[in-house]
This record gives sequence, C-alpha cells and structure tokens, in this order.
Amino acid sequence: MRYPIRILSLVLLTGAFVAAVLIEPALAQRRGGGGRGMRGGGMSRGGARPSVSRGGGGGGFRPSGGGGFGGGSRPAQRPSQLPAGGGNMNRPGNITGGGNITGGGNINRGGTVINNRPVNVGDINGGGGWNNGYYGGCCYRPLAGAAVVGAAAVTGAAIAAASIGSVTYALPADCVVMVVDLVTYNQCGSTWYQPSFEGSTTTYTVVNPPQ
Amino acid sequence: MIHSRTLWIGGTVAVAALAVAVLVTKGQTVRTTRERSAAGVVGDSSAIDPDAIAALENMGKYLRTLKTIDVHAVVTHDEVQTDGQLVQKTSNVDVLAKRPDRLRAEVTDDRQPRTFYYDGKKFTLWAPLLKFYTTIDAPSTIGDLADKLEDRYNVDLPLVDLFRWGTKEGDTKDITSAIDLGPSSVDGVTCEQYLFRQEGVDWQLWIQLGDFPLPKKIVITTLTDEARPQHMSVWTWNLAPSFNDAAFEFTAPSDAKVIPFSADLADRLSAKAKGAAK
Repeated sequence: MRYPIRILSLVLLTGAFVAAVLIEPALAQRRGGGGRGMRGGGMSRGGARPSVSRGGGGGGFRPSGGGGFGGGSRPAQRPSQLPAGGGNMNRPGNITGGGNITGGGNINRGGTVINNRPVNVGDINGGGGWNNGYYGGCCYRPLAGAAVVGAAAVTGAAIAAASIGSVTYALPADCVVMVVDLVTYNQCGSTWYQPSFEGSTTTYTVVNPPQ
Repeated sequence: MIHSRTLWIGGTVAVAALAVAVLVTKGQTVRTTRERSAAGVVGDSSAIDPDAIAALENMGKYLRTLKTIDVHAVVTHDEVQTDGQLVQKTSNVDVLAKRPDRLRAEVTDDRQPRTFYYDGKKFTLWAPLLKFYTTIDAPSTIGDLADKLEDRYNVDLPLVDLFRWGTKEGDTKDITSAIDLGPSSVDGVTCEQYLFRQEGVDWQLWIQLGDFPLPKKIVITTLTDEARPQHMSVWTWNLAPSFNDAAFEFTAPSDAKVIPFSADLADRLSAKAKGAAK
C-alpha cells in the first residue's frame, strides 16, 4: 500500500516540475531568443511573412534578441536569413499559456488548449472581449477603481520565478490594471508588470512596484 | 499496359522537347510561358519572364497614381508553433489612406483586433479588447512610418506592400524567378496570375486585367521555415472613397490606458537602471 502513495507523490512532483518547465519558455523567450526547439511546445516560433517588398521584409522571422529588455534597438536592416542557431521571432497572441495550468480553481482563459498544449490565441482581457462572449465571462469587474484583468492562469511557481526585467506573454489570474503617475501596470499580487506592445502583441515586463 | 507505356514514353519525349525549348530560349526573351504553363511546366526556377516583371512594375506604377486607397482585405495567416504545427489566423483588414501622410488600418479579428491610426504627425496603435493604446511621433510619410514601425517596433503595417510597390523599396531586383501562369479569376474578376521567387519567399500575385491593374490577391509562402507557413490576402477595392480627415485621428475612450512600445520601455528601464547604479 505504500507504493501507490509513493507513485502518487512522484506524479505530483513530476507534474509540478513539468509545470515549472512549461512556463519557462514564456518567461525566457524574449531574453534568450529562439523558440525553436524549446521544449514546452505551443509557443509560436514565427509566422508567415506578410509582405514581399523591401527585400521580402516584414513578418515572422526577425531575431528576437533586439528590442527586448536590455536588448537595445533593432538593427536598421533585418538580416535576410535566420541567424545561425535559430534565433527567431516569437509572435504569439497577446496572452499565451506559457503554461496553461489552472491553479486553485482558476480557469485557464489564456489560450486554447489542444492536447494540453497551449496555443497562442490573442488578447485575453476583461475588456468585454471574446472570452467574455464565448465563455460566459468573468473577468471584468470593478475592484478598487480598477479593472480586473483575467488572463492566462499560471502556476505559483511561475509567479515566484518572475524576476525583475523578465518578460512574459502571460499574466497570472486575478491581476488589476493600475495607473500610477501616468504609467499603466498590471498588479498581480505583489508582482507588478508593465504592459507594452511588442509588435502589435502585448507583452508584460516584471518591474519594481512603483514608489 | 502497352497503351499507358506508350503514353509515358510520349510524355517523356514531350518533356524533353520542352526542356530543349526552355534551354534554347533561356537568355533570350522568354515568351513561351503561357505555352509552358499550359503544358504544366512551370518549375524552371531560374527563369525571369520579363512580361511578369513588367506586369508587376506596371501595377506598382498604377498604385502610385492613386491619391487615396480604400481597400478591404480578407487575410489568412499561418503562425508556426515550436513543434512545426501551423495555426491559421483569419482577419479582415480595412485600409483607408490618403497619400502621402494619412492612414487608418482596422484589423478585425475575434482574438486580437487592432486599429492603426496615422494623422501625419502621430501614430497610434489601439487594442480595443485590452483598451490599451500607444501613441508615438510619426515620420512625415506612410512609407517612412512603415519603415520606422518595422525597424524599431517590430510592427508590420497591414498591407504594407500596397504602399511599397512602385517605389524603390518595392523594386523587382530581388526577384530571382518570375512566371506568368495565365488568366485566373478572383471573386469573379479576371486576373492574370504570376509566380515569383525571391530570397526566403515564393509568392503568387493576381493582377486585375484591363485598365485598372490592381492587385487582387497575394499568397506568400515563407521558405525559411520547413513548415512553409503562408500568408494570403484577397483584396476588394473601392476607387472612389469618401471620408474626411477625422477618420485618421485617434480619440482615446475614457477608459483607455496608455502603454509604451517594448523598445521604448526597454530604453526607459535600462536608463533607469543606469541611473540607479550611479
């Protein structure tokens, strides 16, 4: 009878580990570049080029090193090929499940989950968007004068791993939009994120709480 | 059996004859595209049909004569997941533009709608579901704006080719293969279909036949990813649009929040970090 218990705890531990690993690409991708080959599936490694002029420019295969936090600005000329090593652009929808995990009864609103793999789907917000309409909605309620942003539910492990400067496409559940000194934040418990547009997709950078 | 074998041999002879014909004409003006495409031979990847290039340039020249652009596009776009699976996104795009410095592009999409506003001085990107927007100082032309958005902010202005064809940035020197595939209708409009290749992409373009050589459809296949994602856009044109300049101005709803572009945020945060380190 001891075996089942040990197996159960092994399963639980493995599950927690997988969850922690799954979230990592979302947190790491803007810093390290390449999504290609990264485990955790479901993140976008790029997309079709949307234009042909300007040397076939535009679109999906810019290196992701530039322009990110600490990455400085992008070179004026895009390289015409993927850099060696497969550094490539991730252009997911606004919130992805980096981990699609539901925690404590939270709903995974962050992405369409296909065979447990999160797929980038687009804006997830309480702004009266598709998630409200399609799923009965939940996420837009006034709280201390701010809108609650319902987003991809992620694990506690992921939140703990969010260090200052890291960038994610996914927010935990139960965040509020706060404007402090004209700067817009998403406050998720004790973690503060600053939303920004990377391309036309929003990303969230972990920042120090405003003073 | 004998019959099919005869056919096969006949086919081989025909292909060989065509190959000879192609070899003979290569380096000269290739005007046998229509015949070759009729025979199903379109794979000569190094051939440039000057007529196809001329058609593309003529279309670009025509686009440059349009003072206003009002076009509706149905866009399907593949995203590649890390495991190589393709996810197709569909959106409707409405672009209204007045040369040289007014543009509005509305991307209607269930999941990630956006509107782009350019009034000649400011550019705004608006995310209506999130109620987030960003506004930056803009260059003085649509072309310069498109370059700045791409180079600094990773933003692709919707249907940007329409603004670059017929300009230096839309020139045809990057094209390594150009083939006229013959007539092909798009939404009931008779077009000529062309096949182009350049570094990293194969693309097909349908150009309306007649006095208004408008692009009607494009399919771009990205070759740098083995999943070969495609981007397709089908255009419906309104050549007599009616609008006023208010169409290009963004007025933020009262519950909208400003957020920056990532590149500007990164600059700001690293400046702050440097300041703190001193």
